[in-house]
Amino acid sequence: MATKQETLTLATILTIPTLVVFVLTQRFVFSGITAGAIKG
Amino acid sequence: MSNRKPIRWGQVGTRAIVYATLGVAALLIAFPFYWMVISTIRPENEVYTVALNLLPSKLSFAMYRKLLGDPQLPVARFFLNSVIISIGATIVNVITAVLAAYALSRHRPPGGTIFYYLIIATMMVPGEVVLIGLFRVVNALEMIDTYQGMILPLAVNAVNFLLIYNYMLALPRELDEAARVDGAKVWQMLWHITVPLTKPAVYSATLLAFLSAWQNFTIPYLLTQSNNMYPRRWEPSLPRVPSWRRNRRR
Repeated sequence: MATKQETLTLATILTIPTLVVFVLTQRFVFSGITAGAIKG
Repeated sequence: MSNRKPIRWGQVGTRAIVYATLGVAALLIAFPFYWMVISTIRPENEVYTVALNLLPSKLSFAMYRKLLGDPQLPVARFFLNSVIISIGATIVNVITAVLAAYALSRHRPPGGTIFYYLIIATMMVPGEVVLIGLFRVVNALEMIDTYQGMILPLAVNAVNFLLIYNYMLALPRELDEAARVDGAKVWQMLWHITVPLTKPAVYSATLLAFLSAWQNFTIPYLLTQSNNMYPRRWEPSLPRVPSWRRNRRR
């Protein structure tokens, strides 16, 4: 079984790519998600 | 004569309440992440203490060294597998979503509405329902335990299609007509006019596709057999390849 710290460390390492992608795309993300919804 | 506007205390009070509420909400959301990161750089014995120490007594990167340097548990390899699968699935996902959305929203082919509803209908089917069929298809294609086999099932997503479709639908048709008058081909219209204008939706779809692939546990677990192909979800808490999973290709 993994220790608590091992699990947390792995979780931290695995969060990095998600953060990178979010930082690269966040300028457009919210406008992209909401803009399509305006059209009736 | 001064042009300064009088302070509206009611407005200031409302704003203060809004910011305080947002600040507390942000803190509540961010704190678990902070705690996660700070727990990884504490000495191990401090992780289990009940006291709420916001800062570690001593910085220690021992757990990172242990996890990344353990030959028995190739975390770096799992990580690389995840990156390859997620990026591959994201690229294919965005390309298919853009092409399908472009064809159905800008060109309205005959029978397009049927395809539109067929794509939307896939959103109503829970992923677990198709798992057995998915395994059989990937097995028949001899793609079990390969990157392609894991990328393909993750590479089509109706949500991304819908996002881009709705965005493209809102673009004025005159743009296409003007391009056509200037002699632009369909690919040129797509690449030079529609895609640049659809950038916000494409970026959103990229993020959603990446997250969906990165967070997916079931499909890679179902379609892998060897330790080397496992994505990052195979944490130390999970055992090595169990015997029942070996040699299951029939």
